[in-house]
Amino acid sequence: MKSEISIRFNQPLFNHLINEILERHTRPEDVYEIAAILESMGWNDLRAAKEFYVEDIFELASQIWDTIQTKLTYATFATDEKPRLSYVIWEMIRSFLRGLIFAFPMAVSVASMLILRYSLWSYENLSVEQATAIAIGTILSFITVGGFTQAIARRGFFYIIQGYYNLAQKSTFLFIRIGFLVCIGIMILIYFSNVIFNFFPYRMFLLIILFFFFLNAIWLSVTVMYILKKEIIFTGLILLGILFVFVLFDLFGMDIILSQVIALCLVSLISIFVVLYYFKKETVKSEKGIALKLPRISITFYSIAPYFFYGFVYFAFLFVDRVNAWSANEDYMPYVIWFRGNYELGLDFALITLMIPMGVSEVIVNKLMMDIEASQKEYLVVNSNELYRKFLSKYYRMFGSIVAFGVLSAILVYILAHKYNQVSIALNDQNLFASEITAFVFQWGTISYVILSVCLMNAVILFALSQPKMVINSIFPAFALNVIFGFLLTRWFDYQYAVYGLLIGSIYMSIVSTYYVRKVIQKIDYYLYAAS
Amino acid sequence: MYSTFANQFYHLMHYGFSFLLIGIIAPFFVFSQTFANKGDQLISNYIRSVFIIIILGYLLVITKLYEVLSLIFIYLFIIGLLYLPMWKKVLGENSIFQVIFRLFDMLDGLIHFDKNASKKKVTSLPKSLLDKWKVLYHNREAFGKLIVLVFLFGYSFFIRFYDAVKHAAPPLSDSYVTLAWMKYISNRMLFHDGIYPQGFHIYLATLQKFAAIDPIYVLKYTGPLQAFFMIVMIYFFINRLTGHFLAAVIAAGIYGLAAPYIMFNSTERQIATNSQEFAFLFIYPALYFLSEYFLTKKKEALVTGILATAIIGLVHSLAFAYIGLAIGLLMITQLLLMGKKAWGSVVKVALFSIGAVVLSLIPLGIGEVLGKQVHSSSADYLTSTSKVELTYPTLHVMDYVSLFGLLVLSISLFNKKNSFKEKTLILFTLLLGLAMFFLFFAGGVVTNSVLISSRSMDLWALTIPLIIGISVYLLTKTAKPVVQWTFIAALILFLTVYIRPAPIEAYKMERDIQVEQYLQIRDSHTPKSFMIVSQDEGYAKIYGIGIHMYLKDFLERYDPTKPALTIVGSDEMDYNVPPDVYVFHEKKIFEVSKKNGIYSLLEPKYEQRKQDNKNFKKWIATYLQHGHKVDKTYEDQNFAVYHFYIPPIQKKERKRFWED
Repeated sequence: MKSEISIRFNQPLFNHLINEILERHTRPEDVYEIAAILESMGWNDLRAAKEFYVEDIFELASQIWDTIQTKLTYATFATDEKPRLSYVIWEMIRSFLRGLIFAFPMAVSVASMLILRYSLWSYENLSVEQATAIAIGTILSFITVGGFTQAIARRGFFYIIQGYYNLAQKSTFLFIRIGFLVCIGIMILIYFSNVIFNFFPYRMFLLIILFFFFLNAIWLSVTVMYILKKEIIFTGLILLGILFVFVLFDLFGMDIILSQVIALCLVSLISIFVVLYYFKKETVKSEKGIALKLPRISITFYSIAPYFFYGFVYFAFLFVDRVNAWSANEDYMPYVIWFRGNYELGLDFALITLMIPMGVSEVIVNKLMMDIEASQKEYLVVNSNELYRKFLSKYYRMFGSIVAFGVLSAILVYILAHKYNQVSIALNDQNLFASEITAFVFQWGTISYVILSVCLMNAVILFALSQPKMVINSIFPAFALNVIFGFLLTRWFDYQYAVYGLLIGSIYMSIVSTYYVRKVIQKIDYYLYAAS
Repeated sequence: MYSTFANQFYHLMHYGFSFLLIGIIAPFFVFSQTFANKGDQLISNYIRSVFIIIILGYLLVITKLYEVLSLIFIYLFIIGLLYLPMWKKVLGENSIFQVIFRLFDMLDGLIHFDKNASKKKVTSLPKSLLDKWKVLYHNREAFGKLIVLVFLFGYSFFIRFYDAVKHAAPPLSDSYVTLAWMKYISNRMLFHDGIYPQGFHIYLATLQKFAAIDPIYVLKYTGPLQAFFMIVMIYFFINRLTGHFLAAVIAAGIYGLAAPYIMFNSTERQIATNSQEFAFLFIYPALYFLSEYFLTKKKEALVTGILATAIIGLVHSLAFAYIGLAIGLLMITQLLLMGKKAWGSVVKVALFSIGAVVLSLIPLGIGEVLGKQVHSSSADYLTSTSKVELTYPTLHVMDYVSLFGLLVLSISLFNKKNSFKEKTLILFTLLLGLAMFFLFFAGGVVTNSVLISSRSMDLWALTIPLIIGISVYLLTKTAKPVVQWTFIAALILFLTVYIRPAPIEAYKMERDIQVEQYLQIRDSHTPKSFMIVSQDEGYAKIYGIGIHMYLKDFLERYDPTKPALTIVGSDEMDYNVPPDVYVFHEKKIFEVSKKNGIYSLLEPKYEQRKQDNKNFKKWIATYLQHGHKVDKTYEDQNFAVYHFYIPPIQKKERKRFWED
């Protein structure tokens, strides 16, 4: 029977039909789609039976589907032109420097502390009460703004890459407006909480609110500068802010806190104007004559919600160990949270460890994504396993590199921190490592941040493949572990053990995020398809 | 000052918020609504909440995790655990998706706010209240009842709360122990002074943590509030079981407004904050819910009744013995009335009650494991026998009225028209009344126990409203409303014209100004940055807030010939104390009345205080003679406060905030 059919089969018409179908849809999803296309072309069961001796149109669709599938394996693919090595190296250096630029404001602040003994929002001779208020304001600002920075960056880059600066500006300012509204909402909420629970006296509360508000404004502006690739401007603004403090505090003899608040206010205002200016400039440059509208707000919110949540949890994860340490009960505990400088100092030094791995991560993830893009066109479906293996081994190399750079960074930071301390002792008679707690927190904080650098690399990979849920599934339990372990250890032993919460959270996150990255790489073609 | 309106308003708002949060709001979200009657549900929620607070408190104190953050975290965790399945559902009132859908619709402009609708809603609220009021106003009986209740509860509240808002000094010597124990719990110290049920102190500490006010206000407000709620509970018990307004009002009125006629000297306990009275608060609800269980077999009633019983066990041993006896009698009542049919529910109640006993003993067992000794003075009080021969107490008017009530109950037992519920109430009240009367009348004489002779009156006073309430119900249940209202009018007239209850007063251990000065100092300094030098009462007040030193120690430690405060035999100033040091100097020692039973106990202490203050007078004279300065921040004819300021260490020596 089969041979009878094949004898009667109208091969030229069949090939013509396939070509016609492929013209309409280069990659039909399944048999049913082919059947639908055939029907739209005027084919029915009767005609199919007459021309091809099949039972109905679905049988014909099935035969066409099988042939198209075979054809796919035979299709030749265009190999992408590989970029020149010099270009690749230049791109890598650029990515690395871009990652490092974030450290410039920190470097400026550290230098200012060393020379002037104050910075834009810190001062050597602050009372512990003032330090507590400023620290709370700062932490609150980071946690509040974390989600918005992710949302702005995600959406902003999305439009900027396509050249729609107008839309990028619209979406960015939408999030900034909401960010400010949320900031005001939180201020009202903490005001009422303070009225009810008497957490802090009003003098402290005022400081918390002021620093919280202005730092929020500054972080939001920084994010915009980042998406516009004007990060260096921010370092300039920090310098300008320190100059304002210098003029007000040193030259006019104003109170340091007041000077800093005024400087913060001015810097945040200037930041907003700078951001507006750059957006306007870019919009004019890229004017396309089409006034596009933003998608519906609900769609925008829905699409960025996971990134927003990640941003929020990420900053909460970074700071919760401080909250655990500062809220642990000690002999002298006047308020529910009491700043512990020796813990903060250890962690601040340790945080520098993240700088180099972050730069490296930017470079290697960019490289990985470029390779993936190029390689997916070089492999047959049947050879997809080879593709997985290649990228898995690439990933292991990346993993090794980030760990190596992390360890290297940790050693460098350790040496530099102690050198800095020697300078500090010589210049200002300040032994920053006088406390054993500082040394302890520095040591374990550094280890935690090296591990965290792996998590961050994994997060960037997963984000690049549009898998924010996997990132959240890694970071949220890690945050919970950080909270629980840090809380218990600080209550049962001593406050410096909060750093173990950070360590345990980082270990968990690195394991789970690595598991997810492996899972994604093992089905990279599927995830690339899903992400596109 | 302490009694100003602004000060009281501020602290009462904080206290009220905390009370509502942990007793009403949090339980509303945490517990399922299982009772048809709103009153039953509210009281059940409160009972369950207090039980959880105590158990959680014990666990967190033992594990050194007792603090606001842990409590908030646990509450949020429980709420999350309970609501998560509902939130995760796609449909339903609590579905998080529905909220998100609505939010998205709102963002897309699909939901429009009708500005007038919210206005209408706001304006319609007073209108609906007004309508309700009109209905109530036109229903003469309901309106009359409302007026009577406002009078009864309002007046009872006023006479109990007067001292709390007017006088800063806590009543009775026990208050200072309660205050200190509350603070020990706050500082995660269990059985600091020995093993003693800490349930009440855990409740107070939790109340204080959420109120975020000085613990002294929590101490001052909680006693009168719990005494007031006791009256509400008596009303609730009688009214819910008999449905008879007059009986409930009379029972509550006796306890609320005629307290001196049934409690005599113990009346002052009504404004003090003691664990016994807190435990008493749960007796009537426990009995109500267990009676409800026997009558309706509702599981939730049994659980609530047993939880109330467990709370009593976790709070006060004497009250626990009372409720144990009462539950036993309630079970006997069921067996006598129903025979074998009652067996199942009786066994269930018995088993659950044993569970409550075990539960109340666990914390004490943990105390033993922790190597703590039983609180010595309580143990002595519990076991001591009187050195003099005890006599039968003199009976007063209310005792005779109660005996008459017991007679009424006895006769009513033979009335065959009584319903099963009535029979239960009559027999139970009769048995409990007889037991308590004999304990009160002959318990002391028979056992020679100091505890029974002194506290049996409190238990009898607790039972009197029940006996009288049920008797009044039996005597007037068939009476016409006019007769009942005549009774009520007569009762109000009798109370206001003859008894005229005045604000309850209690003996104090110190002057109001001493507490006020402490509060003023604590308000003008950050916590733990000041030291107060005073006597015993100061220790409980200042503990955990500032630093306290006894005047005797101060005199021995510091040299008056050198600048403040130089340690004797050294030239070093004492930098281990905070920079602001206040000395409370009693020019005239405050003493309790010599008629008061505790005067004899306090007399040696008063002698010591006189000596200390005399020595301080000399100390300060020497100090001034040597040209040193001291501020006098307060002075009246009896009392003065001296302020010493120790200058901080020079900047060069000062440690920076990141150093140890």
